[in-house]
Amino acid sequence: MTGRLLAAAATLLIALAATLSDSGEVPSQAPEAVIAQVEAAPGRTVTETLPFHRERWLSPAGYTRSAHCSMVSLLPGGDLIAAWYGGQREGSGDVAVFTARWAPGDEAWSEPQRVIDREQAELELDRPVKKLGNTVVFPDRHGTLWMVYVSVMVGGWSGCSLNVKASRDNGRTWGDSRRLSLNPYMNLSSLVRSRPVYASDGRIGLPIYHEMALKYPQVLWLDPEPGGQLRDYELRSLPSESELLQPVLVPLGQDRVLMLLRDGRPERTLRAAFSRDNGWTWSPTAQTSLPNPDAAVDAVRLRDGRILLAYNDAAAGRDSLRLAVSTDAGSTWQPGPVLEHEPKREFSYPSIVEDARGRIHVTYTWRRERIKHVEFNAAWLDQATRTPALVQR
Amino acid sequence: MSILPTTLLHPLALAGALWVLLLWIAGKGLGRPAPRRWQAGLGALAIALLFVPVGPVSLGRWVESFYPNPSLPGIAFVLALLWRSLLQRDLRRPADLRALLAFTAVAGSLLYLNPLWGRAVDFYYFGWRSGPAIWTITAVALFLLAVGNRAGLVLTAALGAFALSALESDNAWDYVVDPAIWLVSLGTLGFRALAAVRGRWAERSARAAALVPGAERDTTPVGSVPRSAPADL
Repeated sequence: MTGRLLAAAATLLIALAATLSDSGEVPSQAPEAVIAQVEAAPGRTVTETLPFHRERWLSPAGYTRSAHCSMVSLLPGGDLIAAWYGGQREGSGDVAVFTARWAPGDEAWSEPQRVIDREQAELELDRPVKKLGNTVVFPDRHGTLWMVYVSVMVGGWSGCSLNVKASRDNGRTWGDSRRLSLNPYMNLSSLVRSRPVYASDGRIGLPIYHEMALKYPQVLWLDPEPGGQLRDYELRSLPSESELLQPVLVPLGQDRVLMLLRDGRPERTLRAAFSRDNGWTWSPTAQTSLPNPDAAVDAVRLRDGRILLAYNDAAAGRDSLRLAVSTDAGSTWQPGPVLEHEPKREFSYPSIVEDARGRIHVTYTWRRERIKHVEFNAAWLDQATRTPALVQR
Repeated sequence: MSILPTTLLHPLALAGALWVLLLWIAGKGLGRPAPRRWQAGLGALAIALLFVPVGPVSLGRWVESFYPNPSLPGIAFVLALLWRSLLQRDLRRPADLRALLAFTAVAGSLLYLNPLWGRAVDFYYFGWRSGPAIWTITAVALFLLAVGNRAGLVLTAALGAFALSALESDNAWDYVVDPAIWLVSLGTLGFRALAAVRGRWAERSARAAALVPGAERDTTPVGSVPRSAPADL
């Protein structure tokens, strides 16, 4: 009897220690704190009345044979940083993750910086790595720039894991990679594509997705420390039908959040779900009026409250990349200007950000060969939406 | 790259599993349990195998990379098997084994099959925070300890490992169940359930045969319900 009592007391003490070691916080299952998009750098917002539109290249011609999956992000000082992966082809062993920077007023993007490749990832993660893939880059509120990238140990993309790197100098140098342990399936099949949202308590909600057997969206909540370390993280699966992936979260204000989803099902329409409690609970997903050829989209809420979406305007094929605008928080969409259209070519995986001047930047995969950057303002968007024929190619 | 494992739990589990395997092979070869010297030698061989290079890493690190979170019940099974192989005595009592199998079967089914039922409740999420998962495991451990079941000690050890962050995962569920032990528990429980049903069926048939004179011959008219079949057929 004494032995059992001692064992029970030890169990309780250990459970208490486990509770305290986990986070040191009071257990809470309350809805997530208020979330928002990344805030633009401080500065005067200029409302431009004249349409502005300009195209640039992120990656030099022939820099890598293949380039894909860019993400553009706004740095605290107002510069842009973009990350993408390139190599012989998607999934080849020579694929590396690159970044490039651009400051407002610059003619061109900086020379790409090779941040990590397969060999380096093996060294940093201390485990075998077969290939690298999707990468996102984003700042936290303490001045640290974070990179989350996909690495595959075995098989295809469903056999991958997520890894995180941090930079204290806005992406000029990077710390070592750390693998995140995110799911009970031998930590396989967690992928990333979209930009994060920011909670009022300092945490970062990164939309990710699971792809093994069933495809479904999740949110990875990262809790960064001021020194560039990750204090804690946790993952929450979001209820949705299967085969919906690559979630994009758009905070709408007043605790409302819009989630847009790539459709891997035969319907091939962009799906949307709404939350009224900062992403804690979600409505069933609903079809939008826009097609989706099983391809990634991106959307942001502009300063004027409209939501800007970049998407492939077809139920099959990625040969047309287009913008759409919603003025009613994502309930309805008005197709806008076509950014690219060329039969049997691929223009895909758009990434959007709005800077402090109100300029909108879209980067995307151009023919799978290069990453392209399009900069425009709201005046151009309005004009092109009213008269799409003027800007369609 | 480092050839050393990041935690002690992985080499313990892997070396234990390799040792059990080597002892089993030796026992089969010799036709009897391996003698003491053989046991020690095979143990040393099992540890040495952890350092065999596999590509850029050692075998131990390679397995750890692919199987980052072996659960404490899984490790307990391996160590119990090792104990039996070395000392020819069973460390596990049937009730301990049943309790551990039932716990891992239920916990694993909730976690691994969760996506199949729409993810309205995300069980894995409750393992992140210092809340439901830890206290659920604690409650089960306390109950098992109260009824004198050693499976409670294994769950307590899992809580301790979680407090020490002994595995790659920061999720409490990964310390009490992993895919391998879940499949083993499902298989074992399924096999036992099947055997029990077949046993009862055979017993019932035998009892029916004993009660009915001449039942050893099938005198059932064509088209009628067999005597041994359930009444609702």
